[in-house]
Amino acid sequence: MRYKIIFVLTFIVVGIFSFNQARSQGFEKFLRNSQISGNFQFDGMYYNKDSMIGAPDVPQKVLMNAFANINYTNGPFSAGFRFENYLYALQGYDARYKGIGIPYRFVSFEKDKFTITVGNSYDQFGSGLVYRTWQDPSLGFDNSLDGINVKVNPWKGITLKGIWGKQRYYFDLGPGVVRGADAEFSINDIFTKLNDKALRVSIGGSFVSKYQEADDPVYKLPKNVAAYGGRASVSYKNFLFNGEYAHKINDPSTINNRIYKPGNASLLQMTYAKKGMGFYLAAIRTDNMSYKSDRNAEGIDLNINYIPSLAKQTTYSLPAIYTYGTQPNGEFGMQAQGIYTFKKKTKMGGKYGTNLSLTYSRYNAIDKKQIDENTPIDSTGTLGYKSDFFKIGKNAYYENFNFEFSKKFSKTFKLIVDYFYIQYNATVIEGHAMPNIHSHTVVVDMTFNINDKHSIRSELQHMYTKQGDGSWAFGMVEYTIAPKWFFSVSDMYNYGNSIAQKRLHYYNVATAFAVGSTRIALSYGRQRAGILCVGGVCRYVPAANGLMLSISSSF
Amino acid sequence: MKTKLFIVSTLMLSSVAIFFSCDKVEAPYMIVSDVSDCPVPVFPDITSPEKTLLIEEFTGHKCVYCPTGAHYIHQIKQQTYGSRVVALAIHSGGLSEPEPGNYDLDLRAGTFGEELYAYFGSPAQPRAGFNREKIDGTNVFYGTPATWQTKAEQVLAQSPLMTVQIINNYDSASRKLCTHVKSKFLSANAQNLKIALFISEDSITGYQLNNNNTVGTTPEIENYVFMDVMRDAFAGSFGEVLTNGGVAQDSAVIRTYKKTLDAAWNDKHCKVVAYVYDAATDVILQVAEEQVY
Repeated sequence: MRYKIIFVLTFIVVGIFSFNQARSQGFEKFLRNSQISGNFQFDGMYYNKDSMIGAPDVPQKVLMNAFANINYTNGPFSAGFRFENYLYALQGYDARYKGIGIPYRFVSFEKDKFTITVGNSYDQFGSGLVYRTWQDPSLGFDNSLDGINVKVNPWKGITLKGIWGKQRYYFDLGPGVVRGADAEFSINDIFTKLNDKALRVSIGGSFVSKYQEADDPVYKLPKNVAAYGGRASVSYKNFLFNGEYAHKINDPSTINNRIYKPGNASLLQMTYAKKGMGFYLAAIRTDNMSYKSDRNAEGIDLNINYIPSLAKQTTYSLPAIYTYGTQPNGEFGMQAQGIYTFKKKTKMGGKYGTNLSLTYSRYNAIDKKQIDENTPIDSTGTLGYKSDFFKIGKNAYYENFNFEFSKKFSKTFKLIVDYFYIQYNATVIEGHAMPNIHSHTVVVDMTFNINDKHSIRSELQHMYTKQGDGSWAFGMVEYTIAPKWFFSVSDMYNYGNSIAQKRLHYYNVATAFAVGSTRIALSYGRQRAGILCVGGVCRYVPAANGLMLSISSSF
Repeated sequence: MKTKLFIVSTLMLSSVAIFFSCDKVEAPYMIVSDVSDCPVPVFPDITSPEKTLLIEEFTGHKCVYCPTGAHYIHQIKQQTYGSRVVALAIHSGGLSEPEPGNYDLDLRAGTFGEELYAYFGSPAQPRAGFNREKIDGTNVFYGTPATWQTKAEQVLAQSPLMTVQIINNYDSASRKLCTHVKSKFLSANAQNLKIALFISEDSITGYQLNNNNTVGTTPEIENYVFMDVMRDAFAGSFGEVLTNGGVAQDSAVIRTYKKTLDAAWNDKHCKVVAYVYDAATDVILQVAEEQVY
C-alpha cells in the first residue's frame, strides 16, 4: 500500500512538472523533448527434483524473477520506477524477495548547477569504502537509498554531494538512517593556469553517519556510527595513482561479533598504460570494515559501503567455481597485472596482433592479536583484537595466477588460451571447514567465423585438483546465426570426485532468438551448487535441474 | 560569488555536522552488573559425565498444534533421562503475540526469543531443535512432534565433550539472583565456543488454542499450564564468547552472572538454563538447568 501511495505521488509530481514545462515551453516542444526508455527482464524456471546433484523438490514447480525499468526524461527533468515481481523468487535468491511491488522510484531535476533526486538513488563516494549504493539483479543485491540525493557543482572542478535516507531491504526499508556528504576537487580544473599541465591532481573527502535505535539490555550500543575517508588521485603522462583511506568508529554488529574496535580500510592503485602495453598494481587492507545500516543484518543485506575485490574475475565456468568473496572483517589483498600486445605484422604479432596478459592476485588474513592475556580474539563486548597495520596474517584466503594468450589467426579463426592456478580457502570464503583447494585450470576458447552470419565458438576447459570436489572437465559448443539465432550445448563433468556417485555430468542445452532489442532464451540442464560472486559480493546458488526461460527487452 | 560561497559553506557545515554524528562508546562495553557481591562457590565434581540435551521449541499460545508439541516434550522428560533433558519453550512470532481478551498473556522473552526465532528462519510452529544438531543432515528444527522422541535419543546417545554445572544463590527478599556456571572440558577443544544463559518459568496458566482432543479440550484450553517458558537472558540472545579454541583437557571456566528477577514471575517456578555452543555451527555441546531456589 505504501508503495502504491508513493508511486501515485511520484507521478502527480511528474505530472505537475510536465504540465508546467508544457505550459512554458509549448506543448509541441514539450512532446519533442519527452523521452521514455526502459527495459524488461523475465527469468522463469521449471524445476525437476534431482537427488543426484542435491536439487530439491520445489513445491511451486515453476519460479520466476521479473523486473521492468521505465524512465522518463524531458530536458533537465527525469523520473522513473522499477516494477519487480517474484512469485516466487528463483532458487538461490533470498526468500524475502517475495511478491510484487515498486521498490525503486525517483524524480530528478537539474537546476542552477544542482542535481536533486528524491526517491531511490544509486551513488558512491570515491571507490565506495564509506558509501556505495548499487544494484545487481543476478546477485539479488539492491541497497539503494530511499531519500534525497543532492549534487552541486558550484565551481568548475568542484563536486559536492549530499545523501540522506534509508536503504532498501527487499520490499521494505532498513531500520537505520544514512546521512552523508562528499566533496571532490579537481585541482587542474579549479585553477585555470593548471588546466593544460601533464600532472593532474584531484582530492576528495567523504563523511557518512548512520543512525539506528539502540535499546539492547546487554550491550552499550552506539546509535550514531560515523565513517569518513579521504582520497587522492594523481596522474602524470602514462601513470595514474589512486589512494584512499577510510575510518569507521566503533560499530558492534552481528558481522563482527559485536566488538567495539574501530575499523579502517586502505586502497592503493597504480596504473601505467601506453599503446600496446599496460600495467596495474593494487593493494587493499580492510580491518573490521563491514558498515551496514542495521547492526543486526547479515550476509549482503544493507551494506552502506563497498569493499572492492582485487581478485581476478573470469566468466569461464571452471575457474569461476572458486571465486573470491571479500571478507569485511579483515583482509589484506593485492593484484598485479601486465598486458602486452605484440604489434601487427611482427613475428609474434602476425597479421592481426597477439595479446598476452599475466595477472597475480592474493588475499591473506590481517594480523590479529589478543587485546590482553585473558580475552580471546573477537570476544563479544570487547575491543576484539589488536592488529599491526603493516603485518600480513598467516592464513591465506585466496591466490590466483592467470596467464592469457589471445590471438586472431585469420579472418575466420580466433584463439584464447588461459591458465589459472587458484588457491581457495573455502573455510573462510564459504564458511564450512575443508582443506584449502589448489586447482590448475586450462581453458581453450576458439571462435570460427564461417561467414558474416554464421559462427561457431567452443570452449574446452580442464581443472585439476585433489581437494574439494576433485577434478572437472568442461566442453561447450555455441553456434550463432547472426543476428537472430543462437544455440549451445555444454557439459561440466566432475570426473575426479572422490565419491564415485558424485562423478556427475552437469549438461545444458540452450537456444536464443533475438528480434530487435528483444531476446528470448530457453535452456535445459543442470546447475551445480556453489557461490556466485560479482565484484567480491557473493550469494549461494543451490543445485538445480530444469527448464529455464529468459526474456529481455529494452526500448 | 556570494551564492557559491553560501552553497559551499552550507554543504561543508552539513558535512561537519554529519561527521560529529557519532557516538564513541567507552569501556566497559557491556551493561554488566558488578558481581563482586556474588562469591563463587565450590562446585562438586561430576564423576560420571553424561551427554545432556536441550530441546528448544518455538511455540505460541495461538498455535493450535503447539499443545501436541508440548505433550511430546513432556513425555520425553518423563523418560529415564532425568536431568539430562532440558526444555526451553520460546514463545515467538505472530502466534505468540498477545491480543485483547483471552489471549492477552505475553509469554515472549522481550526481544530475545524473537531474535532467535528470526535467526533460525522463523519456522512454522511448533518446531523443536535437539542441541541444534542437523539430525537429518539438513534441518535444525523439526515439526511432527511424534518423531521428537527418536531425535532426542539420537543426540543423547553421543558422548559428552564437556560438562556444564550451575549453582544459583537467590535472595527472595531482594529477588537478587547470583548464577555461577562452570564449564569443564573433558578433552582438548579447538572450537570457538559461546555460552548462553536464560531464565525460564514453569506452571504459567492461560488460554491456549488446541486442535488435538487427546491432549486437551478443543478448540482451546482455558487453564493451560505453560512449562519451560523462556523469560529473560543473561547475556543476550546469542550469549557471549566462552573460549576461542586452544582449550586443554580438564580445564574449566567459571562465569558469574547477576540479575534481579521480575516481580511478575513466580520465583519458585523459575529456573536458569545455561548451554555452551559452537559459534560456527550453532550446535550445542552441553546444557544444564537449575531451579532458582
